[in-house]
Amino acid sequence: MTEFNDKDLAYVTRRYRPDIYDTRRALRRFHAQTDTASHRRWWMTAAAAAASVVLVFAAGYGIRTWVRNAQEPAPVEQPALNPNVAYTHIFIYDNAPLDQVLAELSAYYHCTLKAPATDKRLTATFPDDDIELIVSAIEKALNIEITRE
Amino acid sequence: MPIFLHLCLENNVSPLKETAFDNLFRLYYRPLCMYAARYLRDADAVEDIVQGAFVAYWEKTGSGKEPDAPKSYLYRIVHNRCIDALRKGGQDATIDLEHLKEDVPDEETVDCSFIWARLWTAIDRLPTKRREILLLSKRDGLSYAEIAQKMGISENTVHNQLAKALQTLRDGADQVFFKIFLW
Repeated sequence: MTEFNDKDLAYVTRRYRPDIYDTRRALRRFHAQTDTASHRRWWMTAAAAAASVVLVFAAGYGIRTWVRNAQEPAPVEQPALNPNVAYTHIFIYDNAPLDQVLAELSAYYHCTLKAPATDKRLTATFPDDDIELIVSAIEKALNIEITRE
Repeated sequence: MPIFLHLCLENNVSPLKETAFDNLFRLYYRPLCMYAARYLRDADAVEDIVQGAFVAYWEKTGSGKEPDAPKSYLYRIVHNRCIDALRKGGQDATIDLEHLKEDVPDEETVDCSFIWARLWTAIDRLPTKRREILLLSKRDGLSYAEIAQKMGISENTVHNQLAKALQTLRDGADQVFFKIFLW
């Protein structure tokens, strides 16, 4: 910082009085005299207040969304059971849940396969050339009825 | 926000410009006072002159011809008006008028005025009692014993308080200056 010396201190203390050269008071006086800020202040304040309110609401909305997202984790994507079936032309299931099997077959054959909710699991190997055969095989093996749309 | 901008356009003001001016005022008001106080004894006259300088600056910016160096512009006006005031009521002069013939502000005093303004603000923020001790010692030149007697405290306390006050001035002048600028 800029050092002051005894001469500076003497200069200031000789003139010092507590209530003169008050910057804030002078600025108020200036605004009153030039009529600059006094009549505009209210709407500037209003604009600032409105902006603050908007900001608070935006922040609140952001926090609410964040909390909700934290409470409901996004569903985990299930990995495909046979990702390379387009090349291998064979479906291999080893103790796979039935709904996953049906989902995969539906996607592969562009149709919708549905079965009553069940926790049955399937272990089988199918070639991919005949969907009718696969469906009837699953129906027989697990003793359920599959509808195809 | 659009309403805000609309009001700005309607009133032909830029809020940024006004804020900038307020900051300019806060930055230079006290240094200018300190500068003028070098020449004039009367605090009211000093305040009027500095105020007038800012009004002149404001009117100049309003007319579209903004001075590109506000600092030197303000100091020049204050300087000239101080000389005018001294010529009118010469008996109040604290300084030799011959010394002031030049039409330009004295660079050294301009620089010093910033230090003085910082000191002033720092002194202004001292606790009342500590400030009084500082003033009695530095302004009135009283000894520790005289101050102690006058204020009814021990000489040791006077010594400590004075040391603390000076330390505050040394440490604080810089921060205080920042606060003036930012508040």
